Amino acid sequence: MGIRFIHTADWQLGKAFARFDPALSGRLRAERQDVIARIGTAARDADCRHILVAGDVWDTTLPGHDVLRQPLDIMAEFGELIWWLLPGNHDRDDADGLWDRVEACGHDHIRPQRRAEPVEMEPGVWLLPAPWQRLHHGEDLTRWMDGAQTPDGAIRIGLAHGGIRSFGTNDAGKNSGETDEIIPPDRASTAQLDYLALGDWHGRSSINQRTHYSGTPEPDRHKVGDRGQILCVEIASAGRNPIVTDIATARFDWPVLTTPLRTGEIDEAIAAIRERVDAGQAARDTLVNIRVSGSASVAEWARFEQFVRELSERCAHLEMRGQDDVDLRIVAEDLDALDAQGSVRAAAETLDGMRQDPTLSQAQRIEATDALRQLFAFAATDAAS
Amino acid sequence: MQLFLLQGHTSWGKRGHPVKRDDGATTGEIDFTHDGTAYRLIKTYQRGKDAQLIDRSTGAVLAKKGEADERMAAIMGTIDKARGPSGLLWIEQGQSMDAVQDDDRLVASKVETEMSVLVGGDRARDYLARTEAALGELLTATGRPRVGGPLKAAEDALVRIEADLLDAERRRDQTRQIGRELDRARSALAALQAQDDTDADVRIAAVRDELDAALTARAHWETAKAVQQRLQAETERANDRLTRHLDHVRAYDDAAAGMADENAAIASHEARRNELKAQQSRIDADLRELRQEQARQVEREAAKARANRLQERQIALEQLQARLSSLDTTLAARTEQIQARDALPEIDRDGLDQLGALEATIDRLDRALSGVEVTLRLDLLPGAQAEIDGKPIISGSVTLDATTVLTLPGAGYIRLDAPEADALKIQRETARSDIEARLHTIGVADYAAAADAVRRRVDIASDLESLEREIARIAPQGRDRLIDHQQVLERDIAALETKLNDAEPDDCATDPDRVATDIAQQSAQRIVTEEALQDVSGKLEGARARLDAHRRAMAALPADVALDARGARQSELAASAATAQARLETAQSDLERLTDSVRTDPDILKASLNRLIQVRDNRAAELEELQRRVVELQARRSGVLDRSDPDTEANALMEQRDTLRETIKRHRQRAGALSLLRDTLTEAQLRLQAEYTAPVRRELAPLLARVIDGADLSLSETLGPQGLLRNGRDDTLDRLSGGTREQIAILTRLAFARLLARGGQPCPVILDDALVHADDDRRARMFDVLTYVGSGEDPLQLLYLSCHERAARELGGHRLRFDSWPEN
Repeated sequence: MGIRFIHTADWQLGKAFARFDPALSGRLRAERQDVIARIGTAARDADCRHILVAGDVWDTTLPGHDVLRQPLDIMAEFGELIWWLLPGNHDRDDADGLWDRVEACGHDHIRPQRRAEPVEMEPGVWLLPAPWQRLHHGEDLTRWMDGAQTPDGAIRIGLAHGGIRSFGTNDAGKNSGETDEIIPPDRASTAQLDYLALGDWHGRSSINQRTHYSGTPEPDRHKVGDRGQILCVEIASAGRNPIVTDIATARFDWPVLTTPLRTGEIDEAIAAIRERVDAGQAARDTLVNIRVSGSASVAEWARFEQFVRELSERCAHLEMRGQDDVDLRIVAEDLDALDAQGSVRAAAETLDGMRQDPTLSQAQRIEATDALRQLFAFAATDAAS
Repeated sequence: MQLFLLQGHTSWGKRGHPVKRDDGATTGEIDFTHDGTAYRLIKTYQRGKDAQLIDRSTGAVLAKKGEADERMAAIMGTIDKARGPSGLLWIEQGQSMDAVQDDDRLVASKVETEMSVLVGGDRARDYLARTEAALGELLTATGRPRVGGPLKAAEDALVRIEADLLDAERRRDQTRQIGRELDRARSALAALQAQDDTDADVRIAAVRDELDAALTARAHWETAKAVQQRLQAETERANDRLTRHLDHVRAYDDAAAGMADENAAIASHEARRNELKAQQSRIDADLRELRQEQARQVEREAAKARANRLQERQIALEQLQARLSSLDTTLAARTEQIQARDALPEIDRDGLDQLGALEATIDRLDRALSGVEVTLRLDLLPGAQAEIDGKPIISGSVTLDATTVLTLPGAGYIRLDAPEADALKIQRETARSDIEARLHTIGVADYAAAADAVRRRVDIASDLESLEREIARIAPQGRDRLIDHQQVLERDIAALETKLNDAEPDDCATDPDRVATDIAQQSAQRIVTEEALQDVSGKLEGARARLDAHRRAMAALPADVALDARGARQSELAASAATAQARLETAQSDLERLTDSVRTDPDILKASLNRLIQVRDNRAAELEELQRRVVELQARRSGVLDRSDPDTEANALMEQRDTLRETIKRHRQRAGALSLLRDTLTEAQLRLQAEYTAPVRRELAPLLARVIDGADLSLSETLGPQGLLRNGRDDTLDRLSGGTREQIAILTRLAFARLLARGGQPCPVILDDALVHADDDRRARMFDVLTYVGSGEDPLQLLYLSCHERAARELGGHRLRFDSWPEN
């Protein structure tokens, strides 16, 4: 008496991606729906009959009819699969009536979990859901699982949505400074769960052998190491450790490329970025976030900027952060190349002095650095022409 | 020279024309020495293009065609720039004001360093222009976001997005509100539907049966009540008829008694009225007598007053007549005085003074004439005679004045020949004529008569003033007013006399006070009598009216109250009342018996029934309303979600807003950096410009002072002349003549060439007819300067090219002449 199922979460269907241009945001939005079909196919391939979605199926509680119906239709197309959908904080089961509308669609194989009570998924396998019914519920929604009654020898699977670890820290558990809503990391143990399927964190994370965040199947933001996947979970019998297998499902790649620059090694940094981008999805499906730091000479910085410009033309989107933190190293040769002794050199020396002047504010020093960078950019343009 | 030294042999167009020979070939050659090597350069332009650089010492061809051009460019330092250092110092006619062209490979000294500053200056200007262009895309000159620029566009978009966001949030909140209302409606509907409502109709039916029974009992009771009320009314009416009959009997008796009393009173009042009327007639007769007496007494008093007024008028008339007489006398005296004054000559004090002045003038002229004289020494021959003014004189001293004549009989006259005397005479005659004319006009013989007339006039005027004052005192308003007053008095007197004469004599005398007292007493008595008469008449009228009222009251009573019929009628009415009372008591007994059966009020049962029906209906209506409300809210929310996802829209707008804010921040940061770069470049340019131009100005100062007295020059960053300071006064170059500006420009270049020479890199200076606009003096001074800079410790090599031989004649130096190209 075992079970094999798919654990996924945080689809956030209908998310707008409005900070991108309309074409890209449209692609990103569509891909969040298309990934459902890939999940269904993956479930078939893995011989899974059940798909557990641990909250945030939709991005809001008021999705338009098309955003509501089309995903349900896709799920219904996989007639042999049962989709267990849990209301999360984004799509909570409150007065907005989202889940009334879902139920009104009347798909038998789509099972919204709106009550915190055990549900028999199939003989000997019980699901313990912890749905969100309001935004600020003020309690750990999984607490009831400790006392939940199921037949002896049944496999108990918890389905919940919420933080178990602060997104901003590496701390875990109750002592992370979060509120009482946090799910304790030992809930699987205290509730005698064979597996606790969690959602809310878009990155993949294993809390312990029986407690996992699947992450979102299609990334929607820049995350270190986040590639977009679902989990195939196999539980042989009650009390046995689950076997968890990651299955990649993402179309878009959202790499965060932390790039510490070092004077004299700028080409290595460029090569590393290029290698990382080429290793992921196609560049046209990649949204790159480059976070620079360290130091670079004037010529190196100009070269690096040129590389970033060219890379941005290949990628779906590219943004670079941390330019202000890069220490622009200016040596006499740079100034000589800029201007032997003329007023351009004098201006460059003035700006260089300003950016290193501790009596000036951070904003003023950044402004001077930008001005200096612009001056060298003029020179670089001259040299190129 | 320009063509050969600076232009490649492939230069296209008409550039080869200057060296075009008669046979049409555009070829030439030039020999020169550079770094100790003697060269020959041969170039052919246009057809048969070619170039050769030859070592003259060996005759070897060092380079051909393009390579020869490149070698020449290297020698001249013009690889990249057409004019190069030679351009700097090659001063063509009319082009001396061009900016300095430089070459950073020319020099390696301090001067070269300074040159590189200029290179930086060019670059700085270029970068400054690019910075300002980039900044100009973001901001206007006043620092506001430029319309059409990315910053302004982002700010405008942010405003729009924030407005859209507000709208989206409002729609989202409205949709959420619909959801909450729908939730409430559904809960209420479910709660209502859960209530058990089966006994409502049973309760309504029970109450309805109870109500029907109560209504039947109430109908029986009301019938009995109506019978009792009808009998009650009949009993009351029978009693009323009996009571009214008794009242009529009493009224009949009262009217009969009243009529008797009033008749007696009427007789008494009529007797009293007759008595008062007789008394009133007597009083009226006495009053008429007394008033006649009083009128006579008034007439007597009036006659006495008129006599007194007559006497007063007569006295006033006499006084007025005396005043008129005095006035007439005074008027006559005034007339006499006026006639006497009019008879005097017409002269006043001024006229007399003018006559006196003329007299004095004549005296003064006479005295002046008599002072004009001459003394002659007369020696008469024997027998000769002489006389003055007819008086013979003898030999000796003779004095002639202007008025005398010495007559020499038979010989002539001797007069004083004195022009001043003639003038005095003319003046004296003029004065005399004037005085005589004035006396004639006035009508007097001489000045004395005139003076007498003036005195007389003064006296008469004084008398006239006195008379006028007297007239004004007697008749201040004029004689006619006195006459009018006199006539008024005379009329009054006549009227009074007529009235006195017409009055009848009445010598009787009565006491007016006694008459008045009698009249007052009789009048009072009359009033008392009148009032008594009115009182009696009123009482009489009242008695008669009451008598009529009694008669009408008695006539209005029924006939059965008469003394003979009243007894039978009273018995009949009393029997009818007793019968009605007995029937009423029976009905009341029946009513009391039925009252016990109507203890339950049907209205209460009706209220209960209505309440139960309302409860049932309300619940049904509430159910219907809730169902309708649920459907409506579902439709509304579905309608919203059909069109859009308000939550996602709001989230998207918030994302766009945040992105725009970041964009604006980035643009502003870039604008700040560009502004800083612009300011820093500008400041550096100004500072280095000042540092660089100083040494050139030092070289320039003595040269400039030689040509233009007291002049100093400011230089631009390109070493071009910028402004002239002459004797401490600032002058712009535009206001100088073209020649002066050209001289200043040449001097500037000479100063720069000296600076180069001092730095160990002398350059030739070529002046291509550059002083043709100078006047002779200036040209001579310029030639001095050229000679000066071409000599000394670091002399410049100067080439002065000119087709104005005479103008260049004063230059000095070594004169060269170009010969014609040999034909072969």
